Amino acid sequence: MPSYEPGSFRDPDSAVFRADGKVLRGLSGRAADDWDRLRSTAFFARLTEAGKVVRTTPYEGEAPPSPRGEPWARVLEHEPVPVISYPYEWPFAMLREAAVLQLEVLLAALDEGMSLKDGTAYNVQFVGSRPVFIDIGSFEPAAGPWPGYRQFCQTMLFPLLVQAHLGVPFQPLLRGAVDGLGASDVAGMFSGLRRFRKGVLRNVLLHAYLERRVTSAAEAVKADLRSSGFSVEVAKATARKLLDLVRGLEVGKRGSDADDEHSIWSDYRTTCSYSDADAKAKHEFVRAALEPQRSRLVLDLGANDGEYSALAAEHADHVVAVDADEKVVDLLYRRLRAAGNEKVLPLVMNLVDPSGGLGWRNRERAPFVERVRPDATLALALVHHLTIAANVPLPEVVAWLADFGGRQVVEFPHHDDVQVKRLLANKPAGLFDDYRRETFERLLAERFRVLRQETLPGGTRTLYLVEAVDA
Amino acid sequence: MSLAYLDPGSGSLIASVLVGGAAAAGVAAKQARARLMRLGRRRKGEELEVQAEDEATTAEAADAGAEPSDAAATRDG
Repeated sequence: MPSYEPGSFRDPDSAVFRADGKVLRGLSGRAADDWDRLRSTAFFARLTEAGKVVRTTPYEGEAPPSPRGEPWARVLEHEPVPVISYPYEWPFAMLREAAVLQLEVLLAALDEGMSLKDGTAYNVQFVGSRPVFIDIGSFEPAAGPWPGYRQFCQTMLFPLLVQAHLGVPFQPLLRGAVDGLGASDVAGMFSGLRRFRKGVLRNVLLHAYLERRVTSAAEAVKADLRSSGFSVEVAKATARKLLDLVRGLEVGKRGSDADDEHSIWSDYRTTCSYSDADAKAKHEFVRAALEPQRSRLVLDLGANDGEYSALAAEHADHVVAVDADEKVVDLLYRRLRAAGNEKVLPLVMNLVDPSGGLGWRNRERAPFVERVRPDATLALALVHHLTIAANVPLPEVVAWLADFGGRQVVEFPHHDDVQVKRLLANKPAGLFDDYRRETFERLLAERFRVLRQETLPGGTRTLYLVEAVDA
Repeated sequence: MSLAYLDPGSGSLIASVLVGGAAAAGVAAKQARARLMRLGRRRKGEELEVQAEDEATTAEAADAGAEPSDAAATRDG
């Protein structure tokens, strides 16, 4: 049965749906004309070959009618993206990379007389660390200024400016509004000398002013601008300026070697409590758990610097590495990108507060748990944080893990582990008396088959290889 | 007019042109000039054909009318 992608309803001329495991896109007559023009351009072939635009081919099979009940003029097939992620789950460098790609695609299109009708961050997805432009329906013949500028500002440029110039992480802001940050709201965040930071005066303050003052209908303004000589060349100039601006944006000193910006978790590997023997035994356990059966998708919960994600990637097609610490995920992304890694997708997310369903009818952007269906899950050095630091009851933690199904490697730090003691020191005595290995094992046995278990040489942590009972 | 019917995209379009900056304004000015030149040339041809003085007056008026677009383009720099 075909099912329409709930996030693709906004363009009346094009919609994405899934049928027989394929990702298809229906086009109206007008959109089909644009597609014919697009496929004859040199840039489209070039960017597809470079992996910058999603590979797209004509589809000849049966297709359902459009959501408006009309037959599609044309149907296309897209190469599927392994895991769908959203901008509010991306660290700074990832959103910046997505913005650079969007502008590169726009500039290449403008050079051959085409443009993008929108500029939203949701036009970009990631295959591992590689950004790919997916909205083929966005290409249209170029005319006058770039109509996607506003969406580009709201979902890409403003979030980047806010984090680069004010040090405010953009993820909660983008998650708070599917359409992104409004110019006047962002203008209010920049006071005093901060208004003079790169890109703020024109893109934020002037933009907010013009939004308030220009009251003509958008189509009339477009016609005026065109008749005043503002042609495709103007869109090119805008895109070039934006590209320069975005490439130059940076958080703290993350881009340089002299990285002196630390987060709680960015030095975890060098400061954590594992002895060499523990680390080695843990590594071996995880490897032995994943090696015998190749996975389609491994989910690494609390991935930190991605050490185990890298190990998992050796035995899986794809890995999703999730961590709540934006800084840690950002550094991981930069390393993966530099290495050209297309297997590990690093995402920022607080596991106690995961991305829910957002936008129209709460369906436009799907919840994390619906998008990420792993066949193997790693929950290493995680359970004590959820239970003691975040107060999630142990039975809830186990039930939540069981929801992911499949095979899992779960680490349980005992109540006398040094890290557990540190967490317990923040809590009133006696509050977590049920945080016991025996309790955990009993809960685990209710929902999983325990295939293997091993206590690390230090004696304070036990690893379990389990398989969900209903799997 | 109710605010709900205003399209904030109108202001954004103009903002995007201004972001293009000097380059955009320069391009626009060049194009506007080229249009004026073409307009001027066409009129000159017409004048020769008709050979009437009042035609020249009309052309002057048309030139004056065409100026604002050029001015707008230069101002946006």
